[in-house]
Amino acid sequence: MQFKDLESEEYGFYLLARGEPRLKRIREAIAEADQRHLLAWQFRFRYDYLEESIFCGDRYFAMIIFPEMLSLYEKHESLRQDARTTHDMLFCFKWIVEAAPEFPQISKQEIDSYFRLFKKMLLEHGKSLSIYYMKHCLFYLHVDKAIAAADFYRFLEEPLDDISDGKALYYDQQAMYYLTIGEEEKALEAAKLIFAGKLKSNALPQATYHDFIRYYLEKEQYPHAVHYAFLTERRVVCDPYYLDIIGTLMSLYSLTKIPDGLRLFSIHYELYLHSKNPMLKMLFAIGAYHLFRVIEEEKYHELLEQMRVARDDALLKQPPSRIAEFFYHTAEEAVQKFDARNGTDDFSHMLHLLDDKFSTPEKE
Amino acid sequence: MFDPQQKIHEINRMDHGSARLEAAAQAVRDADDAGLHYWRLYFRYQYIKESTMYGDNFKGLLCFPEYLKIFDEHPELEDDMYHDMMWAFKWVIGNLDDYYQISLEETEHYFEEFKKRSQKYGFSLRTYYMQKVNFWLYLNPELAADDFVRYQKYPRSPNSDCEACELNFQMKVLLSQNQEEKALEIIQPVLRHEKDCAEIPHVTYYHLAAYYFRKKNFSEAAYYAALCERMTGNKPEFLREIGGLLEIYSCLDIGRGWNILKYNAANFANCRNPMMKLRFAQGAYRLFQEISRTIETVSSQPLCALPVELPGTEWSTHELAQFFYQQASEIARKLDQCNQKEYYLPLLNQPLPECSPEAVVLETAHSVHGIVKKEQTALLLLLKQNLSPDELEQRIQKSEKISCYRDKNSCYVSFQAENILLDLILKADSEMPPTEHFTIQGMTPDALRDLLDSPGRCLIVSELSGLPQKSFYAVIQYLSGIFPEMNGFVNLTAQKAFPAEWVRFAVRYENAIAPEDLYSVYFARDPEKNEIWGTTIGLCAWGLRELELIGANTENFELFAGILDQTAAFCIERNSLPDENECIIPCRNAAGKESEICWQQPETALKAISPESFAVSVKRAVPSGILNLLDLPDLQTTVLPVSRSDRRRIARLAEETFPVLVKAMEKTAEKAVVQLALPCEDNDEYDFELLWAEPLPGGQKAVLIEESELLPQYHEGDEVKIVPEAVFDWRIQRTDTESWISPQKAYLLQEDAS
Repeated sequence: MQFKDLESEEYGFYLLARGEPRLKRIREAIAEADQRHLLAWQFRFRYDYLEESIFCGDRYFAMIIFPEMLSLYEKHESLRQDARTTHDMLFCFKWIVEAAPEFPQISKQEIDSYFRLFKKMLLEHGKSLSIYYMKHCLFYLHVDKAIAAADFYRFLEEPLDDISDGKALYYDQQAMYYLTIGEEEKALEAAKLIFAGKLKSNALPQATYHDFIRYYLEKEQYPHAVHYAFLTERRVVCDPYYLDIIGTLMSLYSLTKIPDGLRLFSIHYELYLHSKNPMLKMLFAIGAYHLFRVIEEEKYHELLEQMRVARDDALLKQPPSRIAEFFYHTAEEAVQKFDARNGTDDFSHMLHLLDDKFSTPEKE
Repeated sequence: MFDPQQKIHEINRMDHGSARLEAAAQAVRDADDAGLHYWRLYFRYQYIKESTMYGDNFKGLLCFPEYLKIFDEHPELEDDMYHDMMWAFKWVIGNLDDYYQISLEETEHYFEEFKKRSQKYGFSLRTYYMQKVNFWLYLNPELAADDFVRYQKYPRSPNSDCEACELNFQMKVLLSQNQEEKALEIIQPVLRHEKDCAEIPHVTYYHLAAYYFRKKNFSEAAYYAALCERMTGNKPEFLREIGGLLEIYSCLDIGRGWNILKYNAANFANCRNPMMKLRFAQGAYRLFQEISRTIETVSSQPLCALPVELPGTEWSTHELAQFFYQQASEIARKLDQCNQKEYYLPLLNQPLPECSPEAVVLETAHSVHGIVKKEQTALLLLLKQNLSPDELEQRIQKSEKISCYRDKNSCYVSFQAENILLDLILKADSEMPPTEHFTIQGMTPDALRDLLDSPGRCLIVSELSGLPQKSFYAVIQYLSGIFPEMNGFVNLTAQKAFPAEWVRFAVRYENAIAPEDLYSVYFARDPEKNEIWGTTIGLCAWGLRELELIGANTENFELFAGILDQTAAFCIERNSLPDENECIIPCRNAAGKESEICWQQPETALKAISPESFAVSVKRAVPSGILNLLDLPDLQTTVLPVSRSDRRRIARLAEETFPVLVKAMEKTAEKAVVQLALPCEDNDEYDFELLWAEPLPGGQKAVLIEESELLPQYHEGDEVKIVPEAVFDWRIQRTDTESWISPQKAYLLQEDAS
């Protein structure tokens, strides 16, 4: 296969459906490039694979391919000297430091070492540390809030550059952070341009809306949360990338619109089963638990039956309380792993967020 | 219990300066008490940074050894903290030359240590050599020259200065080596405003002014000094450059020098940085030396912050010169002792280049720059009744101000607004000078006549500084506070009249002041030759040449008038006229051919066209610049770009005044339209598209009256929700005059409502 063939090969990836079909084809291309020792393509196809894995929602594959990519880059001077390859490497690093915390099996020490290496590489290549502080802040929000605060203000001071996530995510990050420290007004100000449609990205405005939904859910300001949920739902349905948002919507709907919650669950249950991302699965499971524990079989019998007909699944045939119990234990298991890794109880708090509204399965 | 998160938020919510520095110092003490080494280092870094950037950098210098010691004692934190440490180290060695308290041995030790650590952490030695050059540049030029060569060999490092600062550094070194051409070549990106930062181009202008002053090119020195003065304002962090300007103005323009000195006297008194104090005292000494040749005393009031004990309210200029000399010589002696080299004291005693008043040539036609000496802005306030000087003084006494005094007819008042210090001279019961006024849009001739017939008048004269729109806003805000009953005012310098309703509107909505409010455009026609000549009136108040237009006739007049107006607005907005033949506005015709609008000196411009066609001229105190538009391609379709910042200003004003439109709609059935930004959700290129719509009663929803390919989901006639942030512009039709009112003229709607 000549160079041009490989290029058209790469183009062909994008004609395939996202997710597994595309990943499978790229895996074959990697094997071929490896076999023929085509270094540039070995790296490039791995980049394609990692990118696809990051954005199709299953970051698991990205975590597997990244060490191979890093090893290639570090081993070969020609790759390090190439500006485009270095740029790609930094981009992959950016995705990985965001994705790594989503896997509880990756220890805090490992994640910290990824961050250190990422920082070092950014500095070596004369890049701004804006993206480093942003991602470090995101991780440390669940680990050490003081370090996250320090990161946040450093992130604001650093200039944006070609590795940064762009203006839209710059403001989204600010909105998210201000909400976590209860500064709603500042968050609204930061999100102003995103809400007005003047700034956007692949994940925005839905990710910003999600931040506000979570905030209002915690503050028990449900009408506000429902307003943002209305704006969010159509942008996130059927996308495995947004299983976390679906989880939050189910939590909200358990208090406000149970039929809509059931509908969302029914649509996304299949995606949940196939996802390999522990964080997204946990957040979906928390939402499902919140939803099913308030569903009464008699009241929602018709909807439950529709769901059972659509999905031939042993779990769904169970009464709602049993389904709730299943998701509670699934979520609890993941929550314990994440919280143990992070040394905090953030996710446990999330699991028990609505406890004062209803009793937990254990108490029953 | 020590809560680092709370401390971080507390510090970051504060404004920069002494309070924040103290908060950081407290956090350092708390972290020490708690024994948390990570936070001990973190808050020390914040403290050093705050003191270096926004305050007394000596405090940062004192804190650094302890910071370094903690860093070395805790290798477990090295990976997380080395980057911060190398930045703090750079700031510290960058400030060593400011302090005689640090011996040369200590300085050399610091440099060696910095070099060692730069190598350890893989940082290139570029920053090390840059700081060494900065230190030795004037004390040991040969050593500095060698290090400058080494500096250029290394690539940028993670703790390098920004690119603008580096260019400025290179220019400074090349100027010190008299390589003017190379220096100017290197600094072009900064002079073209392509690269800048918090200090650049302010400091760049200063270096150029000082260089040309040294070379006795007073025209260029005055030009760059004027630019530097505009940028540095009265900010304490630029005290050293301000001192340099005093020295330059002591030869070129002692009036300007006095003006700068009085506003910075308090900054000098509060400064603890010896080098900054030396530079300022040296400049002030030179200035008073010159002033004392012709003026024996000056008022003590503006200088009351100075640590000087002189009798009475009028201070001897000779004694003030002595005071500043003593201050400067003491520091210079100590610095020379510390550096083991006679440099600063001989520099202080060295005579300045001699300069005759004729050599100060900002006003000459030979200057290629757009900057001219500022003319004073004269505002004639029109009141319901006349005020006596006593009544005027009483009102001013009640207002917030920094200082106020009066003579027989006038009150002199200084006040601070928008970080600008403004001096006003107010004269009660003034006569209306003969002038030809131009109304602001929307004001009828009858209303203007009534305004000018107001029985009471008060003349206000001031030299305005700072950004034009902000400065003008500060003045009218102050005046509306002390003369709430005013009928309006006339800007005699710009020949514009403003009714009271507009004043109230502009005070309420700061975005209401447009660049066009600060000047007028005037046209005269020579019917025999079918030539139209145009000029701006009022740019001179901002130290800019007026712009004249040649080459227009009745066919192309509308386009030319628009170009003159927009060019003037651009210049006011950026507060500078570019150099001759440098582009002010790039424009293009329908075929995409690009051209540039520049100004030319009268002689240059006249060469380009036949002298006969230049039909009209006026006498001016300062030379004008000519806009010669004859060579613009395809004049009928020339497209001028819209200023982004002005577009943003109008959009903000439209959002703020949207409730005024909604209220006006309640009272009348007049046609209204609103321009909304609608998000293009699936478009990678455009984030949003602007569409006009007709708002429905209540202002919550609107019906689209146009559609766009970018928004396939929206069609003409669709109802959309109005989000205030998405309002970009609006119009409402006035049935009586059939004219449209825009956000700029929203005060007319308020007037109707009242």
